[in-house]
Amino acid sequence: MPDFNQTRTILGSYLSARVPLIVIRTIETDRAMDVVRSAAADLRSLGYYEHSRTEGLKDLLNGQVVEDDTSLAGALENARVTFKARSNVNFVFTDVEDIDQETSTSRHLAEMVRLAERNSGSIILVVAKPVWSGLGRLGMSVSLDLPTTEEMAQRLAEIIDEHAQIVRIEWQHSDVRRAAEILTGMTELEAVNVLMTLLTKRQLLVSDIPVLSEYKDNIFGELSGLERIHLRENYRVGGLRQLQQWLKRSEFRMKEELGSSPVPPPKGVLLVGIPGCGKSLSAKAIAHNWHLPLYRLDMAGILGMYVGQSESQLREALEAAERVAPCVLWIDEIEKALATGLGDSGTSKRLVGQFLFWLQESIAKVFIVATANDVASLPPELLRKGRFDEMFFVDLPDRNDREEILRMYFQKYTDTDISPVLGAELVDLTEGFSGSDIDATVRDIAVSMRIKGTAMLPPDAEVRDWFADVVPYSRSNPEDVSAIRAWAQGRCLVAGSPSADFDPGIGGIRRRLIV
Amino acid sequence: MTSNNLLGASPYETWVRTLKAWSQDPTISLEHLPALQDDTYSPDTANRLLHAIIDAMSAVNERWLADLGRIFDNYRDPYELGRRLVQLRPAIARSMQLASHPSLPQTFRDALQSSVRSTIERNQREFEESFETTLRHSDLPKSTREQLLRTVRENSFVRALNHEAKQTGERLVAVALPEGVHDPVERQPRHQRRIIL
Ligand SMILES: Nc1ncnc2c1ncn2[C@@H]1O[C@H](COP(=O)(O)OP(=O)(O)OP(=O)(O)O)[C@@H](O)[C@H]1O
Ligand SMILES: [Mg+2]
Repeated sequence: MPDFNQTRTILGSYLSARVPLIVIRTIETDRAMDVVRSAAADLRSLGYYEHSRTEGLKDLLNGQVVEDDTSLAGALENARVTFKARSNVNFVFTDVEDIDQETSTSRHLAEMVRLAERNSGSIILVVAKPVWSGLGRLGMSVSLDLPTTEEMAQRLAEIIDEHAQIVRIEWQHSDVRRAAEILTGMTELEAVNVLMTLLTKRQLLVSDIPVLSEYKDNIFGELSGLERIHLRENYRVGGLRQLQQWLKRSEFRMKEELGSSPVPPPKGVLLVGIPGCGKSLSAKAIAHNWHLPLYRLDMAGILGMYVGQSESQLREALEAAERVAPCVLWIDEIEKALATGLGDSGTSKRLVGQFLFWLQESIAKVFIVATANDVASLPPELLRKGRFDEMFFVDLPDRNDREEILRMYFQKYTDTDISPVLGAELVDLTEGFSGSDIDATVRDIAVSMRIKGTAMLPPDAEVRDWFADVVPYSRSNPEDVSAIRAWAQGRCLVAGSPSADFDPGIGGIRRRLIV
Repeated sequence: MTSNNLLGASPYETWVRTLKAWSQDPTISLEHLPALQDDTYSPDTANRLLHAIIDAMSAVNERWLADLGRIFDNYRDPYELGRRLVQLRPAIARSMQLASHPSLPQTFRDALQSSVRSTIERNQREFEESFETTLRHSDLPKSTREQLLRTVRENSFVRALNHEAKQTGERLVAVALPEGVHDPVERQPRHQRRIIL
């Protein structure tokens, strides 16, 4: 994840190496230009020009307009003559359109890069989208990610200092830091806009900090159709060991620097399974454990009223997710909008296609956790190998898992460690229970304790009764459970513990049939 | 490179021969052209020379207009159009170079420069107008039409008048090249924001 300083260092090395094309990927052009100026200031013996479609050509370091010609073709002609006349010159271009594919513009740029190369010149492109490969291959690229919390804190502190004379500032260093944490994920400009708006009240109070979250959700909410899920507690998942193990590797890949490895960042995982067994919980736990923001894409809400509306909503949502990357994108009940064959199947088909295309093309660090209950309606295209990194089947917890979950919730709600004897009995009694059934039952016990005004667990017999009274979903809907198991067999990896026939010698996770 | 057959028995003859050749190929060198003083010639000879220059420039302009007419032949997108327009600049710069030739008397230079300028300005204006009319009758989407028109305006030929040109009409100097060290810049040169109360 290159931040300001890392990007600056990388850029500096490219400049020193006289790499003829340097592509800086960012959605924050101004901030990227700060990086460029800062790197250029260290290598002043080179000449630098900056071209924009609004101001024409400027001297990068002193900001003076050298020619108000805003035409890109004109500027490139200029660059051509300059490259020929002098070595070690750099031209920075911002807002260049139409270079994500092979176009006249990208071809012309490629020509100029070759000329630059012969004269130790460089063309630096500041772009939001990847450039055409025929162009990109001529040089190196570096991406500038959204401001880190560090950077955000520094920028906020600068602005706050600037206003110290005219605004009553209550924020201490730690408050600035908290504010920065909340604003992380925004562009610098958005964050500055939020802070400036607060400052107009002539006071900056500690109680203003929660307001920042609202601003953030407004900014993201308005733009996107994504809902930010606030992670408060420490999400703990019982069982699902193979899934946990697999996630460790994804986490590693997610944290690798973009472009530092030929392997693209992970795409995500599809979780199907029996209700209440921890699919949604896993989405939250992943984001929480990886310290990434969690966004929920409401698939049912994507289905709009007008033709084309759904497509544009999905596109916007996916773009927004790329913007807030790195993030975890939770798509709950993915089958709701992507089910083909129901209702307006034309729209659903297009949505599936659009989603799959994005899944394949996007190189943003958006880790998708998609969940599905009604597996029968999932479009087969979605399930083909290579779409998601992996598909997991979340089954009812086995004995070990149930014991872990039982202990977890007794600890959480009643602050007690149950005895080994009771534990073993409850593991037997909860055969067929989902994690959610166990959670709810222990919670009921805890509520009854509070009503009685005691912190003591009821006698074991009573505890057993609480569990014996529950009719879990798997018992009331056995045919649903077998149907989903039958469907998952051979298609999915088992999220839970490997069975006895699992061969640990391989080292990885083995596909196992569900019995 | 100046070929010998451009050199005449008199300065006048050298000018006339060179102009003739230049009107066919405006990239030939003008460096050898001998100085013409106001008092070297009778007003009559001077007039004839002026006309020879104007004729040569007209011939170049004619050919340039023909090139301009072909600019829309199978171009792929607005950018390519812009690039072709930029490629038409050297001939303009070259005419301006002839009009500003140091061997010409100042009075000639003034008259010729303003003539080149007004020709190019008129060419640009008429080009824009006729292009706009063509677009209005085309079935291109509105956004494309606007983009094309913007391209034509943005890459105006008038800009070439201010370019110092080489023999080939290419710009001599691209942009003012700062030599060596700049004035020190702040690490945060961006405009700092302040609230207004
Ligand atoms: N494996 C588990 N470990 C710990 N708690 C669990 C587990 N599975 C379920 N729970 C508890 O049950 C609650 C509901 O589970 P969750 O929402 O993750 O189920 P789900 O698989 O998404 O079900 P649905 O298909 O109905 O959406 C969780 O919030 C958690 O309290
Ligand atoms: Mg769920």
